[in-house]
Amino acid sequence: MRIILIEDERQLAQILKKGLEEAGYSVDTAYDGEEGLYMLENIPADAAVLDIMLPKMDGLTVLNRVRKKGVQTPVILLTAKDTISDKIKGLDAGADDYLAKPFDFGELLARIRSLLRRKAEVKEAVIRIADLEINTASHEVKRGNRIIPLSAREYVILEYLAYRKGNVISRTEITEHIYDEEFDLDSNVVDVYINYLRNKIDKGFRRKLIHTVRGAGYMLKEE
Amino acid sequence: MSAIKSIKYRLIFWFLSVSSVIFTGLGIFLYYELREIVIGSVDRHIETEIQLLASWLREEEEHGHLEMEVVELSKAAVGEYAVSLSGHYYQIVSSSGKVIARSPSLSIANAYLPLENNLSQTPRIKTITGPEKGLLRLMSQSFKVPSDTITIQAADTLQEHYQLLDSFRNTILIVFPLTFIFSWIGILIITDLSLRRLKILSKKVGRITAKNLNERLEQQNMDSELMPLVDSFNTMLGRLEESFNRQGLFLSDASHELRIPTAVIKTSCDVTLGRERGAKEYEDTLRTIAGMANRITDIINRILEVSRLEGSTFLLKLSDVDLMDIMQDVVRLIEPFALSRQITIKLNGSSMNIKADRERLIEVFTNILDNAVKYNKPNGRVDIEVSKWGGEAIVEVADTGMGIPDNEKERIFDRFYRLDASRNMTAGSGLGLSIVQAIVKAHGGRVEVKSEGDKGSCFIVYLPMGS
Repeated sequence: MRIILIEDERQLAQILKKGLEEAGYSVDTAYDGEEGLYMLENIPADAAVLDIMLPKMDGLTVLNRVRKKGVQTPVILLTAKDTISDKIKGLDAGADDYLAKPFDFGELLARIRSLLRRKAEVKEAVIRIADLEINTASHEVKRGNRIIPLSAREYVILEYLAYRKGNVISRTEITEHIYDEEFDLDSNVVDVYINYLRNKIDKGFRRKLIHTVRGAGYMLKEE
Repeated sequence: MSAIKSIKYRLIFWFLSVSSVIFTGLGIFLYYELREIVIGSVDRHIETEIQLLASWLREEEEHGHLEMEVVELSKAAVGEYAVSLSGHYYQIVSSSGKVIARSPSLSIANAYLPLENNLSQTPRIKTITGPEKGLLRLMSQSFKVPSDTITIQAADTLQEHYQLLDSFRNTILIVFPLTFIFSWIGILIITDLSLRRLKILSKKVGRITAKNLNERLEQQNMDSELMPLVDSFNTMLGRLEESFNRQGLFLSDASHELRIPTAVIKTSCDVTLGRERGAKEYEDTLRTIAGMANRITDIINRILEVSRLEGSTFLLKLSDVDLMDIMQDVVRLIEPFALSRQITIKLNGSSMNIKADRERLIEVFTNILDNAVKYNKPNGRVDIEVSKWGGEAIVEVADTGMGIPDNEKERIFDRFYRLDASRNMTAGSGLGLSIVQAIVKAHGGRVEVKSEGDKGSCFIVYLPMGS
């Protein structure tokens, strides 16, 4: 899952990026409103964390503009102001959630997951596909009752497929949502990870869950 | 105690005192005035009687039978003079003290009027007790007749007149206290009515608390006497509201300012504690936290400084200082920072003595120069000009930075105000310029800022030369 982080306070941005990456997200960081606007319009992110007080263009203006252009990326507003009127203004501008600084990082992660579920129309924190269980909060993956240990990258790709279970996902889409802009896009890497995942998840099971759709991409589904 | 402090009771007390003095005085004055009038009329009546008797006597004398005719004379007296002890008397006395004639009112009762010792040709008058025990007004006057000097005495009772005076006095004693009581009730009602407006006003004032300071007292239907009070109240409320709002804004700004470093600390801790880490990562986190703690300390110190500068505990240590010398010190302080950003500082001007607080001025210009360098373009310049004009020392600090938009010029001196959050990188607290403003104002000077587009900005500090 790819997240755009727009926060001008560099130290906060760095630590948030680190924490989000450790939680398995790829993070693109912008330090001002204009840069953030560009990223939101051009990067197919799954969610965005947007500070309100930003240089060059404030967060609310950024949000208004991208929403007018039809960008649907779920947005969590971060702000040092937490009066009700600030919250109302933020939500009216098209924000999906609102968090006042200082916040609990765990809460931020939970709220991001909640937004991702909303977008994916998966309503539980644990995604189930046949006997496969993916706990998006603890990143624990089980098949049957057996815990399957996954690397961070493997987990992220599996989670992305799981959120959109039943849909065909192209290699490019996976790459775009798994890596940040610093990563050199090479869809072969996706094939490599899909192979690893097949070995860990489908190997030894009669029912295969990861399907290859020729010329289109991959899909996670029960049949 | 409360009665003494009540306007109503004081008004009543003063009204009672003043009106009782006036009423008593008026009563006494009227009583004696009436008595004068009454006795005066009695006196005139007696005098007429004496004149009448005297002309009779002269007529009789011309006929030479004064002694003979006195009885006739007394017989000539009629009406009330003929009734025994009627209170209307006369008697005629010879120089030897013998009563030649007297009115029938005396002779029937065989009574005499008291004789006058010192006779005089001008009438003498006095009040005596008469034969019938009532008060009499007695007038005696001597007349020379060829054979003798005779004295005519006439008297009239005052009894009826005193009865009149008594009933007048009684009327006063009843009417005046009644008037007094009625006007007392009147004044009670009047004070109550006029104080009611004040009561309504004070109720309205009482309803205004910290929560509805934006409300004002209505000026409509207000008595003109109370208008100044209402005006003063409204002005005071305005000032209170302003300072309340400023205080609230200051608090929200201060808390907002503190939230940023707090958020960094909180998130750093959350992320770092999220998993097992190496010593290096823990160290990094601790360094971040230490840095943020310094920033919080800096913000708190500046908040304290601003509130001290704006409060009354701020005292300048004035001495004769050379402004140029101060500027050279400040430039030396800032130069390393400026060099690190490839910014050239130039100082122009000559030695200029003013009365000022050296340490505080260093603080002022360090802040201004720090901004000029911080917000400058790479390879930019800062030009400082020290000059004087009309009793004021002027320091102009011009930079080649990004300038200040017109609509923000007013606000840059506000506490915590920052033009652009991107300028935040150098960890300013947004309080520098409000400190500058406070110190310069304390010196009796002012700060202006000029900025044209993106050609940079110029801070101009005006300081009085001597104070």
